Amino acid sequence: MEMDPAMIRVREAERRFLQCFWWVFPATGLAGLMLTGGGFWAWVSGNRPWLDWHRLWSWRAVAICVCGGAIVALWKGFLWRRVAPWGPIALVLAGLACAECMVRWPTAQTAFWLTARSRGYLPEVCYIRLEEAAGRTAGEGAVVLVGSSQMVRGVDARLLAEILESRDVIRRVCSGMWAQSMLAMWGRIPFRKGDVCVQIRSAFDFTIGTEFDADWFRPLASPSGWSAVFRTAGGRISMKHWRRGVDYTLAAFSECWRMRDGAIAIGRSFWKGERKPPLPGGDGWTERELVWSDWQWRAFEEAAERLEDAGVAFLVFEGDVNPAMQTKGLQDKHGEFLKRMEAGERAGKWVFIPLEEQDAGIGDGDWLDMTHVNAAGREKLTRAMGRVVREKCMVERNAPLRGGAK
Amino acid sequence: MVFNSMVFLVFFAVVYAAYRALSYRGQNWLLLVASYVFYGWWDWRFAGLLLATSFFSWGSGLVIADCRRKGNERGAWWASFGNIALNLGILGFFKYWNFFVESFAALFGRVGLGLEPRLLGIVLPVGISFYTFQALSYSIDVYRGKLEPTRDWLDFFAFVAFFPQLVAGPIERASHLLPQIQRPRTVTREGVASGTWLAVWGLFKKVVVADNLAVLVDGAFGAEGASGAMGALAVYAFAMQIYCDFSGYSDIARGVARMMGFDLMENFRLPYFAKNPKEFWARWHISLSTWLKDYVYIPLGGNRRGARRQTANLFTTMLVGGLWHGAAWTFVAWGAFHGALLAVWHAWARGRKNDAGPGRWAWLRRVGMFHLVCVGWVFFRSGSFSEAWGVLARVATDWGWDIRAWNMLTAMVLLCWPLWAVQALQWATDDMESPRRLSLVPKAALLLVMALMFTWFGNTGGGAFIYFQF
Repeated sequence: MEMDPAMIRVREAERRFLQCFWWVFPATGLAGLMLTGGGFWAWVSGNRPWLDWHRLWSWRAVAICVCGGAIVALWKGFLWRRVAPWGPIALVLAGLACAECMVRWPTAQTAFWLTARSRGYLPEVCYIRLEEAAGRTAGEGAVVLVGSSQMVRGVDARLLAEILESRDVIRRVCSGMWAQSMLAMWGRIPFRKGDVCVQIRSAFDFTIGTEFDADWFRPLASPSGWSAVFRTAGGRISMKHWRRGVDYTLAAFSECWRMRDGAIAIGRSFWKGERKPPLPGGDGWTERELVWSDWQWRAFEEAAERLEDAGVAFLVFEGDVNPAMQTKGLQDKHGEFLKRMEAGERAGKWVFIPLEEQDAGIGDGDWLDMTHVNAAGREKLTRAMGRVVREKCMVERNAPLRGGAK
Repeated sequence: MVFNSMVFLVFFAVVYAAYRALSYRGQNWLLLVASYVFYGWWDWRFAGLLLATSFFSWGSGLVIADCRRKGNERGAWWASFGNIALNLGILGFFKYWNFFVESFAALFGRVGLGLEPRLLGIVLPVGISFYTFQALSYSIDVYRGKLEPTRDWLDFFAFVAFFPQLVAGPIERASHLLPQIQRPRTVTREGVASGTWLAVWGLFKKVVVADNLAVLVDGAFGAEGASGAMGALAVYAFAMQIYCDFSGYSDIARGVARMMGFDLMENFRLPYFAKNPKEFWARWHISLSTWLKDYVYIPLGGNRRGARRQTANLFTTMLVGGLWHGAAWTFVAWGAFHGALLAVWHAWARGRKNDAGPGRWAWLRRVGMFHLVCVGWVFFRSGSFSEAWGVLARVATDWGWDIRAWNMLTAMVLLCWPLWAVQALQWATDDMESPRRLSLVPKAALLLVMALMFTWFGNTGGGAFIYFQF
């Protein structure tokens, strides 16, 4: 079958391009190779990259040039051939699969999240992803800190590790990590049998938060929590937010999709991120009607069940609120929160540590805003947490606390 | 409902499945219902305006034909005039009421007559300028005897409301689109393939290039403390943003229509490759520029009444074009600027031969023309004259280059390079669909790059198209 003239014109243009610029492909590969190593990591850190001439003549350089040349040969080989319509689609799918494998490679992960962090992308998310890329180094029976901004600002993991001495501390904390978010990123929390999961929870965690927060889920989503997130959200919420559901599903199963927010941050600040001021305290609280989120509670209970199945002890610290900013609505919900927490403890789902038992001694001067403590409060809270964790589960290193056992 | 949303994806999948299953008459019913659902998705109350515009234009066509048959030329004129007045009245009320009232109040204020402008809290119906012009072209063409009026209201109402191009064009002529609605369409594999390519390419231009450039432009255009270099980059970025936003919409519209067996007119043809203002307007928003030419410029006398009159006609036409874009003096200034460019170019080119040829300085002229267009975009993008002058003054005087400028330049290159590569190919082959005809390796590479850029940079938030506001 003959080609139509329009197609011949395009193929002729391709032929002319290859004739003039065939060398671009091996040369690009070579330049890319020369940038790997010091030059590339300099760029990752936000510095000017440089080309390393010493890398020019190496077997790897030759291999990359050959690969570049192979593209040219392949292009030339198929230039005048007719291919089935699915041919390019199959190649694209293969290319996407290759890209997905490449971005999952730990070195690529480390480079990507380090770059994203240095370009101003959410440091807490980057920290979690970098820790994950490094793999779990903690020993058996580690204390795994999981939680939202109260945990981010309220607990000093290094100090806690010093207090706990014989147990390693793993930190998987991020602002806005409500119960459903925790489920969404379940596969990224490296629980092992014998670990202790420590969380700070308060009525806030079950009364605020966006329904099905796909923007939060995206960089941290994991396939292991996927079905549980939809199950606990329920049919009505899942249907209402079906677009977010599609987004989350893509993120749960594709690393390329999880990287998109970081990629955008890098794309917009390719050479260097602008220095951002440190996070200010919360800007107060406006009184509004608080609605108890049953779906958040269901997600929390689901997480507790999963922890129990995994043989991980579960300690829930009651989160405090700045007494100067306490509101009537929040107090009402706090009553509901305490009731449910105590019922869960009686059922053996977790160990609940109320404020009196924590005895952290947080005073009026230890608050940053309504729910977050300042540096002094952070130290007090960490020491109190360390003491309680020691009391509850450090009696014997290899005999960790079971849920509900006081 | 916007093209770049999952809602539209579901909507189109359902409509397309039903469309393929129906006979041509059923397809027209489906198109009409689907188009009103599509339009009513924003605000169902405005569907009444669309209905009214369709009804008056359809009715006027019948009255004109009836008067003509009876030899009542005056009646035909009045029917045509009445329809134009009614449609422009609706457009004027919704789009220009506040603008003119404020402008008159300001004018009277200057001569010491303080007036309290009576402003109305009017929401501009989306796409009103597009479908009004489309409907007007029908009644004018019927009056001019270029088109037979249709008696079938279903066909006509489906023509005015045709959902792929309803809210942001291309502004189709009745003589081109209506016959396609009146007869059975053939959906071919080639049509589906090329339509899909157009829609995907348009979507890429919108959600990857335009939406990301929009963030860069918003952060740098007229921002406090931004250097002149940042200002210049913001203007370049806006030039690419508005092109990708609008041509992206047109491509999706044409692609979606083509998948259903319709052929919509080309709206953009590498406009930034133009060497002169005339060529630019033959490549940019072609459906509007030809509309203005046929229904404003030529009726004003075109180039038939001497050089001075032609200059005045060009200027007037472009002023109308500027005002069509939006109810603000900056749009009028943009139109005037292009009118002036056209007038100067016509004066310069008059008597010269072979201007359309490649010429020795062709690329330099292209670069020069692109920069002139960019100057126009400054007025188009600015909220006020002071903002526009501020940007131009900064660009001209302050060339401080810092890391933010490097970041912005790199981001622009990162986002735009596939677009530039495709445009280079389109230019080299003089074929807007050449990417579809590439051989296996470059075609797969292009699609892979597009897929990865969709994944990493694509805006999934369904950002509105710039031209919706017009």
